[in-house]
Amino acid sequence: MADRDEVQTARWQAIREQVGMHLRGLRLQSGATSQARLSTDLEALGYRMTQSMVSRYEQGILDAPLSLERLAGWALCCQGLSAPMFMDLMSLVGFSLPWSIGDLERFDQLLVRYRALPLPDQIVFRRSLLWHVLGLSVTTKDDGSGGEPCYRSVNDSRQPAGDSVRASG
Amino acid sequence: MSVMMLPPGQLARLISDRLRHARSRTGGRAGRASEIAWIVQRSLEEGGVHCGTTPSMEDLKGFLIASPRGAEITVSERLSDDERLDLFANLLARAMVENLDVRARSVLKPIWSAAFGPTQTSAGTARAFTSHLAYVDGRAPRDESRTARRNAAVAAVLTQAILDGHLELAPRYAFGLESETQRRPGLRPAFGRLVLELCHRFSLALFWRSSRYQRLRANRQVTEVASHIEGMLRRAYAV
Repeated sequence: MADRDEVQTARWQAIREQVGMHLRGLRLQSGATSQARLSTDLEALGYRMTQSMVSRYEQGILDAPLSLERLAGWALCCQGLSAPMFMDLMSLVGFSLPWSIGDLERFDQLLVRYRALPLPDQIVFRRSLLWHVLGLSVTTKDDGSGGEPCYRSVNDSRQPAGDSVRASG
Repeated sequence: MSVMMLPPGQLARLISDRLRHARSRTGGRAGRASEIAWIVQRSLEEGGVHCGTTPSMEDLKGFLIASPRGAEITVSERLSDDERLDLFANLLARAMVENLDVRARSVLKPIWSAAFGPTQTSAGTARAFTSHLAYVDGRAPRDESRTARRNAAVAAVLTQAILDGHLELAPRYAFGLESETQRRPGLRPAFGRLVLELCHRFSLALFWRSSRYQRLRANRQVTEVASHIEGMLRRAYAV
């Protein structure tokens, strides 16, 4: 909390219960993903999110605000990118994704199909898809490291690509 | 360096040209599969498609994700060179099919653009996001829709045309060869363009809907007749 503004902290405290309700609604809306499953899915995507954290976010008692990446990851794992509840949530926290509702529906249809795959396939595919959802372009490192993919915000060509990513919103 | 993907049809033409050229250097013999796969992969990368491999997939041979943010193809490391080559071409064909779907349905709408230039309606039909999952044989879901089966059939024909280096074995509009490079002024050439546009659009719509027409169109003699007729029309209308 030390590195956060007072205003940011106050805003988060004002909306975190509503955010929690939306997150819970997203998880329960299609197929009712369990908290344990969601936590495993998010961890597989590269987030540090224990089951206890999922529970506390849903109750609105965690102090750390949710980032755009975590919200998008949450909706991705719940196949709820095109859900009205996710739209409400995004407007509540003041984020946006660079996609039309039609595109988000297409993402969700794809996610429903890919759920039938074995877990390793799901992880590989979902990791790739996440960056497209966040609106980051696939680029290739020019440092001779063998073409390892990295991701960069399309709107910010000056920022060097690397582990830390920034999305629009 | 951020790269955007070339239109899939244009990329298919590039790859097809290179494969034909590679074959002509070896006297018509197909080169080693690893060489050909390398040519295709390099061409895809040049065209803005990031190609990666992973050892982790079980039921998938690979997948394609393309959006305005970039395009990527990920394939399983377990594939042989031949399988990898087929998969690259097939995923590219799938990307083409995604937009063919829209274009083949709208046979009449963009005809006006043939004579009088592109319109807003015909320009904005491309989809923002496309993806395709390629399954290992026998692992694909069985409840595939009719549309999915049709897409697969069309993609198979396009894949073969790309790999053979003979794109003329499919309708030219399937590869995005739609616009005339030089537009001669006058009513007669404009009418000629309109007639040609109609023929090509009906060919594409038939190709999209009929597996018989797909087989017919892939016949070399039929292709020669079609190109002969097109040449005659071009001369008659001074297109």
